[in-house]
Amino acid sequence: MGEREIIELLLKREDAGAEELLRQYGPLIRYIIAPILEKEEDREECLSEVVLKVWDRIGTFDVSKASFTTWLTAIARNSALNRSRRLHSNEELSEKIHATSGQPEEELLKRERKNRLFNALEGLPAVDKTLFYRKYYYMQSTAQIAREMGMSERAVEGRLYRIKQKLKKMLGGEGDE
Amino acid sequence: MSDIKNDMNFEEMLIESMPEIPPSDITHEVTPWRKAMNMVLWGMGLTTITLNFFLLQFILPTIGIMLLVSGFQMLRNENKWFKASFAVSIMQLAVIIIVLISNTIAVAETDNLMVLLSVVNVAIDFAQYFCLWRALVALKVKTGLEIKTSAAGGLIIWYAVMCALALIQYVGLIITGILLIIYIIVIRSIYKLSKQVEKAGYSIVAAPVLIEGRKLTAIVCSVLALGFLCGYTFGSSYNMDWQVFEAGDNKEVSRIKSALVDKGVPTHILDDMTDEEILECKGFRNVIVESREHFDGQLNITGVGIELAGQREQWKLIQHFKWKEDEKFRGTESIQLWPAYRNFDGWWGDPAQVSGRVFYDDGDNTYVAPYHYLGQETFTYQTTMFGKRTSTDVFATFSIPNKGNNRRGYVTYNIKEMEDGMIVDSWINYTHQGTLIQYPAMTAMEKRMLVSWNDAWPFKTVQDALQFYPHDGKVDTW
Repeated sequence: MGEREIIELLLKREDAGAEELLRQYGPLIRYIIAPILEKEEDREECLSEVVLKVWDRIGTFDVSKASFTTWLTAIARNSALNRSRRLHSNEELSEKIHATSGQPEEELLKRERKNRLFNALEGLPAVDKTLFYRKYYYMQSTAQIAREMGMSERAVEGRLYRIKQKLKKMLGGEGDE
Repeated sequence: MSDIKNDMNFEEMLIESMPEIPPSDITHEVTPWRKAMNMVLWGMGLTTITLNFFLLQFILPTIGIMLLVSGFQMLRNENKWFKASFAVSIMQLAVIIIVLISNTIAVAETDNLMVLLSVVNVAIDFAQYFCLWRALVALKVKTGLEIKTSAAGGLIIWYAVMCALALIQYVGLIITGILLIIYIIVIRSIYKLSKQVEKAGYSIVAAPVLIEGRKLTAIVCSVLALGFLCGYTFGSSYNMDWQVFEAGDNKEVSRIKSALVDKGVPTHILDDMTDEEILECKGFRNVIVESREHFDGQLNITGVGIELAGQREQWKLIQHFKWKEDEKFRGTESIQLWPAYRNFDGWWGDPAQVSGRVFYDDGDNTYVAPYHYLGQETFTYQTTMFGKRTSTDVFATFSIPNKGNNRRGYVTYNIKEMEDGMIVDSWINYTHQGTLIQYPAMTAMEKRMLVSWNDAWPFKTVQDALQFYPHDGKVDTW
């Protein structure tokens, strides 16, 4: 069954859609959750939570904004981060795209910072950009990044350090301190 | 700004500032599967297709095998078949390194080794396709997803057909064209297969890297560089049996030489010949000498015909070469002899009786050596107009050191008249190696056996002929 068929089943609120979602996209969701949540039981609960959220929010999925995989990735990542933060503190990350919170000035500052970081990342070479997202978006460990990118851990650390120095400069810090 | 300067805060700020939704190219890239499988697919493609130009038949498979090693290295912990694929790819790498280094050795007898390596290579390739197919089947079973693994199985059948055609030396275009189309379809199917496997690929746990791509490339390049250095240093020239030359003091020989010199035979040619060869000329009747320069005057070839005494007309033919001082010798040299009895049935000769030697001077000494090989060879070559042809010729092969000077040599043989009124027409094709570096390396004789008259790098061939018409006790040049 293809992606479109699964989305249609989910939109029709048919159980088969959720089952197929879990069967076909379960490995992806687990892959996103695993680096963020340490315990297996948390991961399993988070997986169920993600499937429920997809079931609830499938109507908001807009293919013109992101692919289904990207949309699922965002939901899984933010659900896992929220669960992780709940486990450690009371802070919760919004899972809604372009969600707002806090004071308007603070929000403006955040938005500005995000824009600058996004633009800075867009200027990086493809490999550096992927490496950076793996580390700071997917929260993957250096060992995992090294394994999956065919690099040594030392090479990953070195590269990340150089990227951070570059970004510091680009974002107004001094770099190479 | 102070946040940015503080490392901890900077890390937190980065995590906080990441976009809610990652760019599509990132979600496409971030998977434990894609990079490994892309390397495997490219590796398969590059090792299977052979392009016989610009050395691509060596470069592409080497890159392909390194990609296979890197790709399977990442997948080796997934199941036993991926682990086997990794082991097989290392064997492939070892074999291709041996082949690449062997190709720099021109003078060793590596034909048997090459045949053995070809057989091993075919077996390894089959093992590789089989292991990949089983590895994908195992992945399919593990994930329970619908994956069509028949494309990988198709690759095995395709390769078997290719091997069968190679075995029967099929060169037709139609079946080759059909196979190429099938190959493209199979590779496309495998690409589709890798797409199907993508979702299952998230469940793969990539193995720690044993050796990074750059390090692997550096090691392979270093091993090849060292191997090439050894190959070109020790495998480019024949091991010649050089001895100090001592001139004889046979008075009879001196008398015959003196008489031949009076008839115009150059002294230096007679001095190079053996006493036995000179003694054969006792009571000679006629002499003819022809001399020409080749390679812009660097090489002098002199042809000498001496009519020997006896009831039946018979001639001793000598074809002598001498290099000028500033020529460099980089590897092997070859003389291909087309004897007079080969060109006209009116003459008889024995190929086993062709003789000759090579010389050089160094200081006060003259050094002499027999040819590394002197004998008759039958070989098959490809022609544009007439397809495959077979020829049987006499070859003399040798190497000359760059030290010393006055490098020279000769070949000589006798012919007897079978039919009156026939011209004498004896040819030599001298092949000279101009540069050391050539790939794959071959000897001057092997180059000549290709019957290529192309004087491109690194061999050059010149032709010279001793031609005359003996009649009524006289000799006319022809």
